[in-house]
Amino acid sequence: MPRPPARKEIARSILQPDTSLLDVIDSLLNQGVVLNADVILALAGVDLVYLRLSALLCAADRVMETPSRGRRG
Amino acid sequence: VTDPKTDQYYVYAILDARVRPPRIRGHRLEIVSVADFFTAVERLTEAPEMSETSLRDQHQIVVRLGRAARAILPVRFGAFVGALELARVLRLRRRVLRRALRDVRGMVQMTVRVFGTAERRGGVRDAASGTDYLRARAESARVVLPSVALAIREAVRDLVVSERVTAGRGAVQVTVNHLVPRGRAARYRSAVARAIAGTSSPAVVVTSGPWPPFAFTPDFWSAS
Repeated sequence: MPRPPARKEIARSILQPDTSLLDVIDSLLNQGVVLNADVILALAGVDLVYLRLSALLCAADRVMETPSRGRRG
Repeated sequence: VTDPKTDQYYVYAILDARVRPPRIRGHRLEIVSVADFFTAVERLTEAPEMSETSLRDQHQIVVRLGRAARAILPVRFGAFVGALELARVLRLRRRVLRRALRDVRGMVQMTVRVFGTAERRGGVRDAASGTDYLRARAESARVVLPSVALAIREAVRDLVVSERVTAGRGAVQVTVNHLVPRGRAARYRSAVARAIAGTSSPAVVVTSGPWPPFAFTPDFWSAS
């Protein structure tokens, strides 16, 4: 008996009508401007390590400033 | 009364212009001018605890701000900073922020998630040198776009200004974020639907948006 032709598989498209939790988590925990980097560590569950990377960044920028540009507060 | 030495802000977004803050129950939003930018903040005594409710609240706030603003850079959850620190960070990253705000002005983000099992590249084999090893590692870590995502990319090419692809986790094979001009979201969705209908992939594709440009914010920590 001949086999029936294989049904063509097609991709299924879903237009999301509302905000999904996946969108919320992706957008707010994985994306967006990071203002204080200790957030990254907190989110990663590394609560024993607390590095004020923002302070470090500021310090690095000040060190790397050329004398001619002067310092800005 | 404000005192930059003691004020603490919970920051939602950075804007290029002042907008009317949205009214969201349980939140008192302000638009504060900081270091040549406008920031959407709330004066709190501590950062909100992470919960589905607080995440959904923040998402709603940023989405509402995004509708009101021409250019918005959403801030990641948990940005609780002193006023002085906020001013310092924004000043130090002024150039990067200005460029990012310019790039997203008048744009929205559309998100396409392809569900399924990710295609994986081969592992790192014997390398003749350290450089070869690192190249092989980089290659193996590269995201492989499934055929349906390639079809979508082609279909929306004329509508898209920028693209960010991230490897999926769990059931998500890959996430593709596109920056598109406002007002083109409907055309984008139609183009995606047509592309999907024309492929022979069994994948499930979920399209969402328009969103504020969450995926198109600058990375402070590697930016110069």
